[in-house]
Amino acid sequence: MLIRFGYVAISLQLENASPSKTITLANLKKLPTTEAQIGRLEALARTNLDNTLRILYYNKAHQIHLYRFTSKLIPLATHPDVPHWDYLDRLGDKLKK
Amino acid sequence: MRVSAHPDHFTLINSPNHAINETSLKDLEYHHQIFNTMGLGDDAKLVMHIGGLYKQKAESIERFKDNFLHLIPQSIQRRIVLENDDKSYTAADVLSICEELGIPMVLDIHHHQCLGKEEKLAVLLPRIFQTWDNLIPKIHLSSPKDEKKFRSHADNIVLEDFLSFLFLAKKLNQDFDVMIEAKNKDLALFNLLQQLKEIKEVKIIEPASILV
Repeated sequence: MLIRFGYVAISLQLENASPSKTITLANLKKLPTTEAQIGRLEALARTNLDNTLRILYYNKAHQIHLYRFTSKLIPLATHPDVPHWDYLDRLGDKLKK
Repeated sequence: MRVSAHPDHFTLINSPNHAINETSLKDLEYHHQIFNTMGLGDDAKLVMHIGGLYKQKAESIERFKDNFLHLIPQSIQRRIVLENDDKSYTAADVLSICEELGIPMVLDIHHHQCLGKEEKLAVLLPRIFQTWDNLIPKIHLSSPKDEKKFRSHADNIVLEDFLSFLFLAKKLNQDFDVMIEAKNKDLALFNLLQQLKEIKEVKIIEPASILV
């Protein structure tokens, strides 16, 4: 019988590859405009997705067939006090990779 | 690659406070939409727990079932798998819910040591694996940090924690996947595989796969 192993969220072999970078609500609110706040969230989310892609390539290279994504790819995604932005629309191409 | 996500532990749908269930639904929708946008099918699963006991276990289980069927859209239901936890719902509790509602069950063998270890896995495991139907069953593996912090995850996996399960599962001759939940992440995975090299029944066929 075949047994495959996987791991959760982040590889410790990869440098600076956190897929769950985030920001506190207090720090986010220090940014002057809604646009600036959304820009910050989007930049963090892009970094998280880039790092996730690096992790997926790493998994493939090491024949790891099982992986759990972090639950925090999009920072503060479901937080009620965060300005609304359509991360699916803006990051759709990246997520498809 | 088989991928999944595990919404935070406060994502639960059996609260007597309906606002909490609604917030949890939003979190499940978030994960579901991300997976959809990634182009992932129903086999990309979301792992959940049953939730709180609220001092009335039977009622809390009924509330879970009711909300699972009526609050959660079917498209998201198809992604959900349920896991036994370390404080409230044992493997047998979760199994009976999974069998009733047709949901795959993830067995967490560390949680099983924390709660309900008197329930015999030899009896439960064939039924747990059957809940996956034509999918490959998955378990969660971690080792206790120490006696005092028994519920916390250790850095690596203690070989015996996996072996005791392996020799139980071997009788079923069913392929399965193991999600390692250890502080050392992928290093813990490779560390365990290194340890498994010493076991004569185990054949390492890839860096993260074995034949038994």
